[in-house]
Amino acid sequence: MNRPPHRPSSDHVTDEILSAFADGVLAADDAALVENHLGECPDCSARLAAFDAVRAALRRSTVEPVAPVDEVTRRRMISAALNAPGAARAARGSGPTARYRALAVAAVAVLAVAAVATLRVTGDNESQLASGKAEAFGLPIGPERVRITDGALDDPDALAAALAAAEASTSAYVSGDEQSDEAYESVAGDAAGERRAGGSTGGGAAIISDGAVAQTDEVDATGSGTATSSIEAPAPLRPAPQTVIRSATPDELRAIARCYRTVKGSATGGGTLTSAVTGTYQNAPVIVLGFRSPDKRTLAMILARDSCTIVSAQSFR
Amino acid sequence: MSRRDPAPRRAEPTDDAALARAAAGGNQRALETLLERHFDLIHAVCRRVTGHPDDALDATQEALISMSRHIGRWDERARFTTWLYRVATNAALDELRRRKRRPVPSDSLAEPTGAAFESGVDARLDVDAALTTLSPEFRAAVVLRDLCDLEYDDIAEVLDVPIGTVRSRIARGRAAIAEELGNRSGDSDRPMSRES
Repeated sequence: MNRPPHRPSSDHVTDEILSAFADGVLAADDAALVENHLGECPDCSARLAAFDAVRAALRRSTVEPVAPVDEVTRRRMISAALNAPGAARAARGSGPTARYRALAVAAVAVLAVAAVATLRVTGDNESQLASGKAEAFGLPIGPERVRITDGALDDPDALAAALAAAEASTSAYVSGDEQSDEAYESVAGDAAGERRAGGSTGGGAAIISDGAVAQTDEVDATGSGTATSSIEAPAPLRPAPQTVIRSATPDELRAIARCYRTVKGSATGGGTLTSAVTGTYQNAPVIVLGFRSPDKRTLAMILARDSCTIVSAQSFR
Repeated sequence: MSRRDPAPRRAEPTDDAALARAAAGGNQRALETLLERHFDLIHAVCRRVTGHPDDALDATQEALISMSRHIGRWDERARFTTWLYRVATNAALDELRRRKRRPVPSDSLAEPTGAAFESGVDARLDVDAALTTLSPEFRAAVVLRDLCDLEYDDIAEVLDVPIGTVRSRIARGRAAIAEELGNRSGDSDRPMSRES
């Protein structure tokens, strides 16, 4: 900082001195010398004016801000940084974060047991059961907005449709496997459809897709005890996820709740959770959490189901 | 010199320093908050230094990764934002070196800005175009001073060069821009020199 001052040459002031003078960073003595010289040297005055003009023009340009990066790209870039090899993160199995996680997992396990107990106790009121189940896992959304799909969500349209359907699906909620069979029929009308509905036990409430075609893949290994169907519904009410919708198992709810806890807060850009969908993305099992931002955009955060690391994020209007 | 607070923190840290400490200790949420909070600043520095939107995105990504990996290297002798500028500027300079003289559209510099420079350097400036005439090191010094408003000693720290070098780079960068604009306002057909 305290470099010996440059003395202006007897003829003209150097660019370096003039530039520093323009910034007001010369020592007082040097500034006075420069000022004296400028009073009698039109050439140096003109050069100073040019420096001032460049400075002013550059500063003015900051009024025009750099175009912001869109939310999806921004999220993807931050996620990539967080998950980059060598990124700072807690060592597994030790430290406060790991301990916190262990506690959180234990708490979820307790809640899961409680949820199962609730299911058994309340017996046939499936609607209440499912509600209690979602709440028990700490998800701030009702069960009707948790959509378990067995389809691929690589396509942004499918992703958007799955989230939209989940968000709007309250009215399609039907409880109980027998009731849901009836409801399927009422939705499907005369449409031919294969059905291989398993007997629903425990938390087997069904949520019916609003969509045109509900395909069935094999039930996920964790999906035992849930009803699955493959039917064709009449004309779609809205773009549909290409999947069968069934109730979430405790394992699925646990994974969803874990991922939600992982990203809630800053990562969601202040949005609130509005839906959760499972499926596959790039051939890996994922959980997609839908957040509604204050500016009414839906942010789809795609997380690896096992690790809850953010795989991608996409936003929709 | 110890900068880690041995006492367990109950409240979530919120200021940069506390977040950086927490992040260095493995708190990923703290790291994420820092990345979120400073994303725009990092991107703006990268955009101005690289002079190209695509390069800026690549540089920003590298800067974010660098932050994630090296958050523990911030030693609190400098302000956190100064360290951020350093990370961002280095990422942008690395990106420029990787791209090694992306062929700059000589006509894109001359053609759309002709009107803008009619009244010389006092006219509205196409910043990116003018800055691309500078070599990366000079551009970085000018950007940090005139667009980011850093003090000379901060710039010296960011660029890791003596303060005299900073003064020289800023002066030569500004002189080159003034000359460039003077050339263009005087003769718009004149071929642009890519070197400064």
